[in-house]
Amino acid sequence: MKKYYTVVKNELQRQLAFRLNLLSYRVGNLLEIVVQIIVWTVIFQKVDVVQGYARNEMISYVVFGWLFVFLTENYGLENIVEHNIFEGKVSEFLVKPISYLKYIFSFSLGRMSVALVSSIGMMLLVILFFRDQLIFNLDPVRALLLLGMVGAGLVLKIYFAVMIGMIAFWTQRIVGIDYSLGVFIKFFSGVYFPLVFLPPLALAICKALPFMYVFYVPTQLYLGKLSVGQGAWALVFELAWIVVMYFLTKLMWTRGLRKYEGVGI
Amino acid sequence: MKKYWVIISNEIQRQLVHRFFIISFTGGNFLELLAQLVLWSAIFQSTDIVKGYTSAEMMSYLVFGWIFRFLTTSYGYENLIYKDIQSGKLSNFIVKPISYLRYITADSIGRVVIACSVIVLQAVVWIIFLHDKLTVSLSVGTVLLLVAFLVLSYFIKFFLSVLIGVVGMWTTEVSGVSYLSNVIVKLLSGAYFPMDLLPAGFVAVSFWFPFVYIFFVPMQLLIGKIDLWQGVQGLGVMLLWLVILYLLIKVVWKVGLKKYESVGI
Repeated sequence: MKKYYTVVKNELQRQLAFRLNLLSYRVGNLLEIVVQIIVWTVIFQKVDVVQGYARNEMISYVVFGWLFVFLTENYGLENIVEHNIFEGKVSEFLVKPISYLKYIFSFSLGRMSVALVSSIGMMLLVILFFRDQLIFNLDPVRALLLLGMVGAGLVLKIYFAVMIGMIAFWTQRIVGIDYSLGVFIKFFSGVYFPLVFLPPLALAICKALPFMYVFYVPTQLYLGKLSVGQGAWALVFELAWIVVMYFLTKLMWTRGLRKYEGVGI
Repeated sequence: MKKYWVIISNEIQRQLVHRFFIISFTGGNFLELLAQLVLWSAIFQSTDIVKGYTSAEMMSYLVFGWIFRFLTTSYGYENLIYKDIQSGKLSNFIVKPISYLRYITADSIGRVVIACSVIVLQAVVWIIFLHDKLTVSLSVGTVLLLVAFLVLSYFIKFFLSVLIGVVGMWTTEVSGVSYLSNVIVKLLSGAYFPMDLLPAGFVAVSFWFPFVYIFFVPMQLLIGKIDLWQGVQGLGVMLLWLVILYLLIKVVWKVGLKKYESVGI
């Protein structure tokens, strides 16, 4: 009988470790968000507007921006792809009638849903707590557009992660690369600051890249700095980028497979 | 003693071979600093002073802070330790006449030597580009003190890393705790922004912990917000913390080792 107790205890410990791990992430996220809000509040004690952003707009940029991040986050999918490659798991997909890309998409969606509940729950609490400093303006059309952007953003981010992960076809490990590319993507999607802060040339570069659709464009639409018409066009561009990313991914996959020798089976 | 020198030189050789690993972090590091500079430039266009910091002081805090931070980083050492524990590699050290703790200390120093050269190179570039926007208050005494801070800062961060990695003896998941502790340390050390931006109470609390000394205090010394004598006092407190952390590691290590042996491989 005692052995079953050990099994139960082990699994309980495993679940507890998993839950504690998740809680640690949430507390860490919460700290980062609250600190950003506090810093901006301090800055806005002295100034009224920073580059066209009033206090509530800036805080909304932070809070709703994080909300968008959580709605589209895939939690290190590039590392899963990296592991699939250097551990040889992709070999399975060369013989099975299932596309690796479709597999990764479904896998990712399943994986994200667990974290989604806790992260959205936490964001709702943050929004509730800071509601006096936030801007709430949502009409049905905007809401629909935003929903579309969130969905498209989710898909785009999966493509980014897969492409970064596939670098492993050439380098086996992507340790520093995924960090640097991650920062690059965050930079050009407006996570660190509203992209208008950049000089015109840099801003033009941002507009030529797909990354801003994942964070900057939805937050701008929400804040009303983009009109509904502009928002609709942005969504069209975003969808076009998804098509482009699809073909780029397929291309990288075929090239990568040629390099792939089934090492590590 | 000679055996530790062998470890250091081995690690340096390994790093040279894997210099791509170090270089791949460069892009991300560079962009992170750039993002902070863009953000604060935008803020200082609307005001001259933020909580006692002029633009030049803030820029210096960010640029030199970045240099300082990356000269003392241990590049996620807690993960290595955690992996050694989880994979059972630790068992090797229990039977060999070489202390695991001394081994990892020597190993991490090897890593740092290579990482440092890359950082110093970037630092020179940054300083050349921005020299007219920065302000420092340097004297022979300050420079010596800063070097001391650098060395102690490295060891405190390293010890913290070890403490977190050792958590791997108790739990199967360490990534969440590692992330949370990173956020807390960065917050309490002033890595995101100068601590005195936050309400006074918060600053007071942060001085109970060792983290202020690994970043905030040396930076204050560099930009001239505290004088040499205060800097020396800070160094003294830091030494005290180093001793405390060392003893803590010894204790936790002993307790953890008992647990480790009971789990087996």
